[in-house]
Amino acid sequence: MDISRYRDLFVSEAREHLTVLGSLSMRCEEGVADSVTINEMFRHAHSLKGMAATMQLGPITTLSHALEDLLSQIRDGHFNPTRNTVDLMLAAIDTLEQLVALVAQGGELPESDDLASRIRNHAASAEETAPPSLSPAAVQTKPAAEPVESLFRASDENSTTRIRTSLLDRLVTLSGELLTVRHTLEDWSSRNQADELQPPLKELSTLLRQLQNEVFQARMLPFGAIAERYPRMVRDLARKSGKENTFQIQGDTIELDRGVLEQVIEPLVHLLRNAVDHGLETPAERVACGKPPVGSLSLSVSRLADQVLLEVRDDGRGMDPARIRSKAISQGLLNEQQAADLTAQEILLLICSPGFSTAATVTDISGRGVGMDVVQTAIQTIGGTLTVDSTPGHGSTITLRLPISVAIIHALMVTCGELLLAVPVSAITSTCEVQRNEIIQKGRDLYLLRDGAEIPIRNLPRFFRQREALSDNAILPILLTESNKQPIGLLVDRLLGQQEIFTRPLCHPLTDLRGISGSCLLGNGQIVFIVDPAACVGRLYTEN
Amino acid sequence: MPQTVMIVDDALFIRTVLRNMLGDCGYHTIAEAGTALEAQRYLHTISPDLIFLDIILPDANGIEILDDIRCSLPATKVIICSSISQEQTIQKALQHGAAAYLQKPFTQETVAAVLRQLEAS
Repeated sequence: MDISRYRDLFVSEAREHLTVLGSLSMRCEEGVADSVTINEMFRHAHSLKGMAATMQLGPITTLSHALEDLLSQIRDGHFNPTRNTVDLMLAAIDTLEQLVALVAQGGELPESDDLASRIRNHAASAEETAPPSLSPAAVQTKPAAEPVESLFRASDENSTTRIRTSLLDRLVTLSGELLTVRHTLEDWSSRNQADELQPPLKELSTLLRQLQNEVFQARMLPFGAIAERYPRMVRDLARKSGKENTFQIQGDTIELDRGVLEQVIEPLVHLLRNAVDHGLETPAERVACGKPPVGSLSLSVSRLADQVLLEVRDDGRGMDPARIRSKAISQGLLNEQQAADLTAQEILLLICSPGFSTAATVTDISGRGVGMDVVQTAIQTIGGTLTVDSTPGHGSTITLRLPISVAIIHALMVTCGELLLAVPVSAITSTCEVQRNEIIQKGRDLYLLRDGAEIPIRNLPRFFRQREALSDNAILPILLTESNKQPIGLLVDRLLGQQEIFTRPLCHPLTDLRGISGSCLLGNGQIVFIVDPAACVGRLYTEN
Repeated sequence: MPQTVMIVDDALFIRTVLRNMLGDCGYHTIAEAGTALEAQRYLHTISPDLIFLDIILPDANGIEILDDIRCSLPATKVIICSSISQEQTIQKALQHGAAAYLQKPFTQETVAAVLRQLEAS
């Protein structure tokens, strides 16, 4: 068997089976695993075994066979899954994932007989001790007559497909560049009075706009797409730290831009870890406070106007503002006076300061103080905000507000005096570098001489009050844009290059700034304003 | 003249491997189906020389589909594929008109052997 020929397909299919098995295992633990679920799990284990056997991957075949048999016995009503059963299932799934990862890398697979034996022994002894509560007659043993609603990717019938984010990003870029080229064509056709080109150009315009809309729509994904991993993670953390809690996810059908989703995965991991590790108390501690021994943790997603809200809520011990305040003072973050001026909300936000942590001991899960500031930075990068709400003794809620219409745009970075600015590429028809003698001045207005025509120029450094006169450079970069189908140039100091940026809307009073449509946060923490070319040139025509 | 094949199995992986193995033996796969429903749709539009049919499909029993195929395409030879090695199942399939039985997991050799067996008969 030539493994390399089928390696990628095997790995991708195997991972899908294992992902579904992982999710469905959680249902077994919560006691809501009905025969339909068990049957579905059985089919996935069976398929995985079949693939592995075809690939002649012994360890994966052995382990998935043991899992398949375990599920078959549960399905046939020989025993009820206990917590230990689910532990073994998850251990098998984890090990299988590791083995599949080894296959992907082309490595050798270690034996899996030990775990397989443990699973078979567990099934055998569980069958002896536990009375079956599912009567065999009630359990379906033939395949279901109708296809069951499944977490598994739909068959070819429903024609969905997976697509890499990088490919989508290129589509976005391409469609933006197509628009620019269209601009250029229109420009040319009107200058050369090519009337015959007008109708097809109009149609091109419409189609391009539709293309752009579709591509942007293709970027939207439901929150559930990333949420699958969290229940398992929370369960493992809780077991490890001796906590007991329910975990609910709400609003997993709410859609977000996939770039935003990707950015929010890690922050949510941090927040959930903090909640389990620090927020929730052990069952004994909870009972001592008069709380039910099982805590509750929830992750809810909702839409509010043009924002998406993600809330991580726990009913644990909450955060004590007094402790936070004194820790902040002792860490030298601020003095007594400054601390006294802070509102309760602001004090809670201090936990986002780098290096801050009030946890008594540093566990290997969290508490090193590196969590919250990383979370806050990640959220700010995509244009969102983070707020903390907490009542000591009752619990905490961390709220992330993310803009839905977060635009990831291609921007040209330019300098104007001391300012670093971003100009959306979609607004630029072309760029050029001109000699000083190609620019003429009439009164306060500048014009570029091109093909015998005078193109009005806006001096951006002057517009943004960096200085009055033209720079001394011999070569001057100009961005050509359009207003009312007339070409207009924007003069800048230097062209730096193109990059993708997450745009953030501005808040009052910054919204009063003319010529600025938004801002973005670069990776190095620098704030860059986004230029609105139309607003910069608007006045040129009202002046005339 | 290369012989044509249809593959019916709910696992994309299995269909892909089998398709390639058949290709290496000179057999050309003209259709693939993942469910009994999909397979049935094809029965009215194509007539492959061979059909490789998995006995367990998500939406139906392979034996029922076998009967449908024998009805619609009497000239087509059906090879039942299964990981179940029960003698009863194999016998039942042969009684319902299957031309051969291919045990899963299959290999290039076992696939070639089944094809030789069919060519001989």
